[in-house]
Amino acid sequence: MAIPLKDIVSFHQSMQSEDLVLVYEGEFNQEVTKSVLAMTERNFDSEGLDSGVKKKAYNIMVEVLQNICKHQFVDSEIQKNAIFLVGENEEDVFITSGNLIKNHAIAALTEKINLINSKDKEGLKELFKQLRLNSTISDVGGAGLGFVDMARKSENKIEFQFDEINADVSYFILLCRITKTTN
Amino acid sequence: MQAALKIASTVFTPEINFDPKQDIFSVIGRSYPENVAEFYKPVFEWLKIFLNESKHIKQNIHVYFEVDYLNSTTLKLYYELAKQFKDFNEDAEFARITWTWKLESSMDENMIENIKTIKSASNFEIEVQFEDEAES
Repeated sequence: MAIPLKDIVSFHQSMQSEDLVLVYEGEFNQEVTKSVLAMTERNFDSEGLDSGVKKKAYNIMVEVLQNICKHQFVDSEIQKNAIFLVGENEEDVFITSGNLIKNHAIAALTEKINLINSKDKEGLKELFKQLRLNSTISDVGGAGLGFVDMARKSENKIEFQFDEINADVSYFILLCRITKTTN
Repeated sequence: MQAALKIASTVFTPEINFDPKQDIFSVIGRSYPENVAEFYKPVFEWLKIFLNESKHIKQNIHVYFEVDYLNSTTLKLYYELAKQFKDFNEDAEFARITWTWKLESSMDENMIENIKTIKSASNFEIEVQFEDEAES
């Protein structure tokens, strides 16, 4: 299935024809994170999703949601909220997010994700180790390990895109995919 | 003897029960606090005092972890914890820390690998106990 990442709304619509588990749009905080995780987990449980896939999905959701909490900002001129989507079809579980990002942060983030995507399993393990040893825990409580962790858990490339809104701000769309059948 | 440190679990944070009197040092639950450093600060502060006091005491300290979900920043802090335990074992005259992790056998392989890496990186004896084995 081709994912129309270009427009989060059309992505949402196309996913409605799939088994869409959850969509949340608005302000993100720890309470929202808690509710979203609890709802998704209940849904996965009731669908009898494999516990390994469930755990991976849960871990990725935690990293994605906390990333949004830490890095989100409100721009009064841009009426565009952060969004979080979880979808599931026969092959995959998808975790998608969209949030505003300052344009000056795009180059570094692109470089980071491209580096992660260039690594195989062993390479990711090594990268995680390097970052763990060299990182410091920032003021917002992150250590910059989140994307590597997501890639390791998802075992697929991280799909991402930036849609420019104006000279200062873009919309950052991220998609992590967990393949249900590993064989 | 240092007073016990007890922190109740929440959806995001594990139950911490460090009770020297009862000889219990356990961390049980999930760990993905929004601000990992802030949550673990009192834990590290408590341990620093406790480990310093315990150096000359002839008593082994058994630490028990049962954490099934943890975020990447928590993992980083657990490596620092392993380092502190390792330093203690190298410095202490008599006491020795042992560390057991209880894992579910269905746990994702990255997590198991991470714990094994903590074990090798810290050169520290960590016993990894799987739930299924523990029950049999």
